[in-house]
Amino acid sequence: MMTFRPGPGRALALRMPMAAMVLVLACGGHAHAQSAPGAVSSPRPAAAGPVAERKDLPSARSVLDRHVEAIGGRAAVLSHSSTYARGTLAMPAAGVSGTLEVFAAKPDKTLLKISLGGVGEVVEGFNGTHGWSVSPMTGPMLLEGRQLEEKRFDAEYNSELRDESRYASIATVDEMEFDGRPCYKLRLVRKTGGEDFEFYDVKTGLKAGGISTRETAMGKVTATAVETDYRRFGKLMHPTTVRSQVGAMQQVITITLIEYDKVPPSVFDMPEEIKALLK
Amino acid sequence: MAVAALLLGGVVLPSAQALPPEDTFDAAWRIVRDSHFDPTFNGVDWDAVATELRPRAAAAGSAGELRQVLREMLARLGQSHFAVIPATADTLDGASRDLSGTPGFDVRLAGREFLVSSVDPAGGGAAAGVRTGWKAVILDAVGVPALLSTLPESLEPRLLQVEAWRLASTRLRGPAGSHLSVTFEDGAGRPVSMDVERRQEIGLPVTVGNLPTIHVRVDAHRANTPAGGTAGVIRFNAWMAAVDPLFGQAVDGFRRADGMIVDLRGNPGGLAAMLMGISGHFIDERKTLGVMKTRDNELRFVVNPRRVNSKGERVEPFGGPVAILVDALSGSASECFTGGMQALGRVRVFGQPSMGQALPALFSRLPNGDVLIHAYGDFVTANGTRLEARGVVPDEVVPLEQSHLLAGRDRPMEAALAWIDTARTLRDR
Repeated sequence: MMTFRPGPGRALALRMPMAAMVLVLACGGHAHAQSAPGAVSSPRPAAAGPVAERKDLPSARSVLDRHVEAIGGRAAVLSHSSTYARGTLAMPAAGVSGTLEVFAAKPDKTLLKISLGGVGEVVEGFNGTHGWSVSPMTGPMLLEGRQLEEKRFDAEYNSELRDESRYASIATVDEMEFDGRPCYKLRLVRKTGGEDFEFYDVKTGLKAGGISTRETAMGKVTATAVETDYRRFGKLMHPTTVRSQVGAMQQVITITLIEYDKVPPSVFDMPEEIKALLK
Repeated sequence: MAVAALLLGGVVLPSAQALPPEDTFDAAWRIVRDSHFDPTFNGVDWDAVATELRPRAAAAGSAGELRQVLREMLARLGQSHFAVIPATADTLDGASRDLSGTPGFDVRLAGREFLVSSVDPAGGGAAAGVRTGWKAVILDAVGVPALLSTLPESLEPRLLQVEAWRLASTRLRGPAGSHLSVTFEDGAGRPVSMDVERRQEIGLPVTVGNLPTIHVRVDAHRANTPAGGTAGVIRFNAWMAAVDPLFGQAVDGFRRADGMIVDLRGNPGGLAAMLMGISGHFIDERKTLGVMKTRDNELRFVVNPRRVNSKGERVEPFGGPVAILVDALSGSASECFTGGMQALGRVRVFGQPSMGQALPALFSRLPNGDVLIHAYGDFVTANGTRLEARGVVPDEVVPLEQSHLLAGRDRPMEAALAWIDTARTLRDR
């Protein structure tokens, strides 16, 4: 049995596609990434099907447990009930940059705020029941259907523990280069549908990144995220750089501060325009 | 992005670095290779293009020469949204080119002549007495025939409109406070020479990333239909996030009008994610306006029904007749929006065919400091219409005619207002 706390690294990685879409998927331009220095290598997700764990590789459970130990241990992970992270978000090739704040709390509440120059503030939230976004480009929006289901799944505060009750299967499927490092590749099939691929550094045990496909307001989007520059905040280590790529678009998140157990519950209150949508 | 490519052809961006020119060439070539939505590059042998042009790039003796090679490379693709925004002037005499001022009037090509298509009441043109419908004969000491002679004869009419306007724009604009020397021919064929003050462009300055600053403006007013109805008219000049709340407020003011008119004439595009929000003021379902096809993915532009007004109160999207006005300078996001709404049957479009430059694009800084605009997706409306190189064809084509402009008439607007009466009558039956 596993429990985890949702490192902001995990939370950020999953939110990157949406952040990218909000800004970039416009007829206007934004960042190019593939030829940029440090661009993310993007191993393609394997086709969906039965999970076959390779017997010559460490079990997925042991890989995940090693990661938990590497970031500070299960007890440290479980000792917190809320997290606040602050940092920057940039699309370097396009010269776009801004600030970012992430709030998360038990059991499954999240709030993401991104403020970008020339665009304004994009806010996405999940309060345990409703998922929503408010963007200066698209207006307020309630999440529905698959998008809401995935939001709920990702909002789980302890999601990074990869509790097996949430997955149909978890398996180590390969050992391969990811971001220039030997990594174990894990395939995680969610009970709610869909699968994620995660990469764990063979040498350090730390999570190196992942490939996630999520339903967005514009359809399915697959993002590759690379997590690096682990730093200690309190009792836990977190990646402070998350480079994410969606097609030709790249974003870089840099975390500068993480605090625990200081997030007031009111942070997750829905904005008035979202409440109005529920009437 | 499209906005920069079209509006700011003569604008230069700050700072550039002295690097081997082939580095910049290679970077631009690679970016297109890696991100172009079509792996066949529109039928162009992209490797061969590099083999042919790279030596010329390496031999370029100035920033301007290098850009010529880059532009030739991009032109081989034969598609819109491949362009270079210079970080420095192409020539030494252009080093101080400042285009912050506008004369307060705009022109459109009619045949091989420029007609004054609009005059801003608050601009220098209006103060000097410029009138719509006049022909511009000499712009900034250059005769219009000489100016247009620099354009290839082979340009098809749609592209000729765009390129001619771009040429004229670099003459019309200049430093705020400077004067434009211009000679017109009035409605009676008499020459009228005047100096027009270029005034600082008005609007909210918005800068997104590496792009030049764009002054965003949203104008809204109420107009009467021929049968005595009312229509809300909303016009904005670029698809920037700052538009959304102002557009929403304008819609709120017109919720009881008999119809609405969205005027996108001269609007060259911007952030296309905004299509989803603006369309939601007029559609109450999450319908797909169109699909962007990239090399890796297909992404849908889905309407976000706007069920909350600018005061945070629950409302329904406007359900009455909606007209959209476009012209030859409506491009990119304006075309995606109009084409998408037209394909859904939600609007009726009036004016002239649009630019046909509707490829979603990215912008990337090159090693020499220039910004490369490069298409990475293709846009197809919900009914399968591809807008690139076609544009939006209005439901009612209303040509630009000098006699109407001289009479102070706005024929596309008149046609839209008359249609609102018709649509209202049909709806009331």
